[in-house]
Amino acid sequence: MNQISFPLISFLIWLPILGGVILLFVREGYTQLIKLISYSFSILVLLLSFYLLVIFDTSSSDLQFQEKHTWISSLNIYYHLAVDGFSVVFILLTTVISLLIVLFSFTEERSQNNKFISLFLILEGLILGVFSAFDSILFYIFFEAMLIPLFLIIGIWGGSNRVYATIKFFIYTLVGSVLMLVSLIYLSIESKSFFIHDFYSLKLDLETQIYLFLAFLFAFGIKIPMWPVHTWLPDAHVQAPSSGSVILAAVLLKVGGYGMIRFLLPITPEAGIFLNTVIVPLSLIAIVYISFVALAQTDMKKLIAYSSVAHMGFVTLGIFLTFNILVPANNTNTEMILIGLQGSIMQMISHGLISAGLFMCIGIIYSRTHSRSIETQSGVGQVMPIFSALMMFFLLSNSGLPGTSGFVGEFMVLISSIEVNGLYAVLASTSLVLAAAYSLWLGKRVLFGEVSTDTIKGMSNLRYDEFWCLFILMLLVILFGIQPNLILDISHASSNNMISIILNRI
Amino acid sequence: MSYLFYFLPEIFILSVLSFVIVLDLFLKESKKNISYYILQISLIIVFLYLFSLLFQKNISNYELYDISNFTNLFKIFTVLLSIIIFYYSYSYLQRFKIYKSEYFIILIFGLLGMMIMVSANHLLILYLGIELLSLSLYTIIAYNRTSVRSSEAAVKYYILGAMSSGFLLFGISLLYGITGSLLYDEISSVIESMNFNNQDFSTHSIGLIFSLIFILISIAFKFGAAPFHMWIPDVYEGSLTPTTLMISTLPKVAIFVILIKLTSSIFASLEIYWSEMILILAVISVLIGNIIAISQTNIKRMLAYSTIANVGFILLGIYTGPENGYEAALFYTITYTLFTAAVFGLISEINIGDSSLEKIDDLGGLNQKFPLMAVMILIVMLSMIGIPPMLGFYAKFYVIQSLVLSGSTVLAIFAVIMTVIGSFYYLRVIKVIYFDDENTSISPSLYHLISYVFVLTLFLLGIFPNLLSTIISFAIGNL
Repeated sequence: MNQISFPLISFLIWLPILGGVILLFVREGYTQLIKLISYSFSILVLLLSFYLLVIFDTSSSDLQFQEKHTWISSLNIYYHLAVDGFSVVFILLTTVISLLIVLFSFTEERSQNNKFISLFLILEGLILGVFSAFDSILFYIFFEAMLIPLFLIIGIWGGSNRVYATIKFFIYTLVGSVLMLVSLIYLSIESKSFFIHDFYSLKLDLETQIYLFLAFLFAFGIKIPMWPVHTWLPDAHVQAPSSGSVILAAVLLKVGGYGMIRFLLPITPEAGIFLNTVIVPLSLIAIVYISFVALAQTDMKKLIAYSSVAHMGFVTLGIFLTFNILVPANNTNTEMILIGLQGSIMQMISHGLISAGLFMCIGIIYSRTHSRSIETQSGVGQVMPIFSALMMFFLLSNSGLPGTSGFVGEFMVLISSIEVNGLYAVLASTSLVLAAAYSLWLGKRVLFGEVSTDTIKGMSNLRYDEFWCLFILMLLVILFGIQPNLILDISHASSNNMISIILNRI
Repeated sequence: MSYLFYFLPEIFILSVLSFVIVLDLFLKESKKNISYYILQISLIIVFLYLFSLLFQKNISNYELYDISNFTNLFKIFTVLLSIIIFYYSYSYLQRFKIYKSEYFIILIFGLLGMMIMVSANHLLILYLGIELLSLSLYTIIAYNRTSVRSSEAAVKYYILGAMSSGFLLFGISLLYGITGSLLYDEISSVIESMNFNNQDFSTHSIGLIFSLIFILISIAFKFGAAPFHMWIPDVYEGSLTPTTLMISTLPKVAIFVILIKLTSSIFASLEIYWSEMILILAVISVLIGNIIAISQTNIKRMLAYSTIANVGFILLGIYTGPENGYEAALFYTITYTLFTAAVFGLISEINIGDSSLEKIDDLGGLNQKFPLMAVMILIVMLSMIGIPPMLGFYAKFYVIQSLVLSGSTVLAIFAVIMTVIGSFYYLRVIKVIYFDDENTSISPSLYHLISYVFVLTLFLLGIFPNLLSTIISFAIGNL
């Protein structure tokens, strides 16, 4: 076990929160100082996470860099942080996206900018906490606390219907997570510990597993979100400020996927196998039906929001296919489970980057025209050529163009689904067509064509900071499209280990 | 004589009170606030004295009067909270120019009543304590005598309260008739010797259950558990805000302590009977409190229903029994009390024009003008919902854990779902403060350093809950 005395993960979590708290006390007017503080903290965190990646041993599936201290002794709750392959992948995604969000947030004018950035930094710290907490209650605390900053971000800086959207978001997520809390308490009583890995060795009968499975499914299914509990997401996205949408789509949704891998798969596999004919179709509905819904949207943000739900359908499909493969009647092919699981992770990372790019693009258009309507604007390409090229790139990768990261994850999940059931694969692959349809059609209507209004004619060109945000994301999308192993290698050992845990339990 | 040593806090408070009552007659109108300072200082002295008692190992128990570390901790807590309540009351009364020394004198009588009832080991002493508390509450609710609401609330509370005292006395007399004693220990050993578990319903056992019901109804009334909650919204709304602050905090702790003392001593062998009754009270309270609170527009009425819901949660904790339920319930009570004190404290410091805050919507846009105040209310509201890392989360956690531990997982799910429903009305306060347009007539009083320190302490307690949970375990261990 790789024990070091330097509490690296604690630093990762508390540095951005510290930065956020400091920012609260900076006067609104001192833009330079706000920039200095927020840049330095988020760059520092990014560097720390790179350092974590460098010294992380990818060949091992053990928990690394553990920190374990008693926190609430009478409840047996520990301050227990660590990372494994899954955590590292998502921690990197979070730190990269957070830095870009800070960069992007300064491109827009708004009141109380210090609080805005401060909430994002606090949110970053909490998300990093979710990804590295291995005491289930600590996990839950970060998971819930995450709600507060985003609730305020949407509610204070959001659009005209922000109150409805943010309260809906809050209550939806709360419903799911409180049920998870009861499950965690139940598990802890059974295993006499809150350590997540202790839950993996519990012997639970099928009925209990089903209840637990449904509670976890509810919690993470709302977060990710799955059909039919996705309705908070389009509302939240449309009303959120651009940076809020970026962090919501790019990172927060991934918490749901991460939770499924961390809790749902290893703790309740038998229930999953029992229910596999119910939950796999849910993912397929998300993929096919929501893609059609996306086609019908007239609001750019809403379209991308629905496309997020559809893409997350691939993630849940990849995860739930595990259960399908493990059905005793099928001959278990662990290789395919691995491909499905790794495909889900790849899809999450890739969607994080691509959706971040798309929401930034929409934010850039919105900041100039104050409209997100698809119908009334066209010809942006003639006024802002570089921007349009970048946006077109993200739209193409959103539809899964080979060579971009969007292709890899979906392809892997499709391979895994062909193995299980040809029908699943056919249904899932229609999404490739539909995604291309809504993405390209969006591009056609907004970017191409004649310049429709004077506001579009008067749009100022892409600024440097905006350009860099998009450019870095584009580089990453291409990099992971060509060399997906950069991601897959990190989580490979942990995925393998997870599969052996599941196999042991059934 | 050596026993007197243990009553020292009570005796001291009573002497100071008598002194101040006389002294106040001779003070000029402009110097009346001297009484306040004397009382406040005497409270601080009592606090320090009680604190020093905590470290004495051999505290012996006087037969009628219980002076254990448990009651001692309770007294420390109430006196500390009283000091805070005094501060808020004083600043409120001065601001609205309705200061009278009697207000504080009556408050201290109430405090004395609570100290007596908690230490009581004898049912009549308990009754005396409860009456002393209740009488001072009736008076203090009517303090704002020019207001119709205030008088209505006082009369309503008085009539209902008198009835509930009657219930209590009736229960006590039944107990005395059956067991021949009024001492907790003796009653409990008599009941235990009746060997209740064989389900043999003799006349005695029916009488015992009747007395249990009567006593429980009376306690539920004082506690504010549904369906005996009707007085709470009116009293909260009709009283001055600092009075509401007092009514919603200290008596709840005292009644809670009585409840666990009675259920763990006199009625210990009747657990199968009282636990069901408490369960019914708890479920109804949580339901009624959370659902009716949603439709309230007056912040005090809303918090009144939230109190009922919280009482339900406390009762859920007690329901799960002495082993882990009492600890959970005590943690919940303390947390609830602290945050209720914080929220009423904050409310009492906000003026809307020339009057005090009543409507939730009047808080509109507080964040733009007074961001620090807004953050304080945010923290308190989030804690009341039970969002981590606030203290309220651990309180709910304790209760839910004790429910799951005792095998009532369905109740645990019920509790968490009600938490979500309850979150709605707390969120509305946050929404009004942060997302609504500014209400220009808000003007907080100038000095709210105490509020900030208080809320910040509560926030830190939420990040390091180990401190509070250790104290609670210690207290329950000394019950």
